[in-house]
Amino acid sequence: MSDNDDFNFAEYNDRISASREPEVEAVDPAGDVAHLTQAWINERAAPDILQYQEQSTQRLLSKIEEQTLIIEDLDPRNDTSVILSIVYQTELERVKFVLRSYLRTRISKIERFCAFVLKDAATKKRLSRAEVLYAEKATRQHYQNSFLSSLPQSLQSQDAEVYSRNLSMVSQPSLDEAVFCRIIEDIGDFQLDEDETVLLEKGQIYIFRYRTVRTLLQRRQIELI
Amino acid sequence: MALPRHLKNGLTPLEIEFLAENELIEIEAAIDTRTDLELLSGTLPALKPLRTNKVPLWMAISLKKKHKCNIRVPDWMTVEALTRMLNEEQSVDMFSPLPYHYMEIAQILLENAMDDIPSADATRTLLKDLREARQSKARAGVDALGLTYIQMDNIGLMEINEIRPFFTKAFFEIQKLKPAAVGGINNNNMDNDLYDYDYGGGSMDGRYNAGGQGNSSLLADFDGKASYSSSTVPESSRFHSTQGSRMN
Repeated sequence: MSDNDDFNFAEYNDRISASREPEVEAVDPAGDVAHLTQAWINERAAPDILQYQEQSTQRLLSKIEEQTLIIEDLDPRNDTSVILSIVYQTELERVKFVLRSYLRTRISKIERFCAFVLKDAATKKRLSRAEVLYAEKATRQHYQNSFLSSLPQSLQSQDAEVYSRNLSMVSQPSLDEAVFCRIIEDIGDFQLDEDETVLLEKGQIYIFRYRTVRTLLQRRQIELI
Repeated sequence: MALPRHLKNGLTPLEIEFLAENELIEIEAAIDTRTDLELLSGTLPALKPLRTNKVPLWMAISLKKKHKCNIRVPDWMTVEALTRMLNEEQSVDMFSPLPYHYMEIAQILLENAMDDIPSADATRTLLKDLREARQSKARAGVDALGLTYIQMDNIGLMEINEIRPFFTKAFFEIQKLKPAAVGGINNNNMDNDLYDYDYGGGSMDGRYNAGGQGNSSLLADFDGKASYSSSTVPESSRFHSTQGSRMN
């Protein structure tokens, strides 16, 4: 569980504050931890980049700061307070771990599909402002500055395509990958393809092609596992 | 690297254990916290001695290590419950309804709270038997890999993780082969009804249907439960009870 990278939450918080409105968001502030934990698992399981959970991340970041202050205020001479402090700190670290891993998973996908992310409007919309910036500056421009600029002009391109042979330099997520998922609410008959349906009921576990159930995931009727 | 390579295919066992630690468990605290516990994930009522409190497993273990509480073994983890479950597991084709995180919780409790578990050795043996029975069921799911989907209710997260790398890869590859296979069969024979012919209930007709029906309507009910009763499924492509997706 160790995650030693120093990550400055406050700074991250500042940078994303002006980010755009997301499509779907958590409703219940008290459920932010559970919500982001699931978002983390989804993100790890899904082949493409999912909607950034802006509001819950924001709220949780500020709650983390409040909680840090509360922990500092606990009296170290009082036995009960010491226990409380241990419990609070343990939880704080657990939550931070989830958050970090969530953001890192997204960053790893951005790095991997960088050109695609910047080209595909639907995907780009799902990123936070900081993430778009990262894709543009840290990844694309970094390649340009570090080595592409010293190559011949004809070899500098990062997104050349050979249509005749169906080849492309732009790697993109494969939506046909298989995912394990759990149904969170009764959905009823669900259309898999032209003439195949399946009855989806709460609690069931399936392996599906990601493409098939993508909309259900967006509507939060299923969760990936 | 934002995410090390080994983290890219699903969760690691350690991360799954981490998730299991969020599950609630009953403890008898030996301390009085006097105030409610204001956690980020919600407020828990104050811990009082001689009273049972429901707390997340990670907290229970952390208190346990400081000898500040006793952990109550969950109902499903008693010798009686596990024996019953094992019988069910061995007699029924589907996975028996153990908690999603049963393996991890049992492991954590056996490691950290041995003294709270009456007859820990028997519990351990039962859990091992259960795990083996379920493992072979999970592996039998390989038969269903050629289908549009696979259902596996009640499987534990740790169990999923064991089969995930192979299953997702194989499922993906087989799906890629499908359109070609369908095209080939249809070219040779345009009459789909031909494949309704009963091959004698062997696992063959499932596969023939897969070709003839253009990979449609194949309900691989992993737990062997009859989900082919879904009215929209054409009769011809329903699964016979003896078919490949069953786990025996």
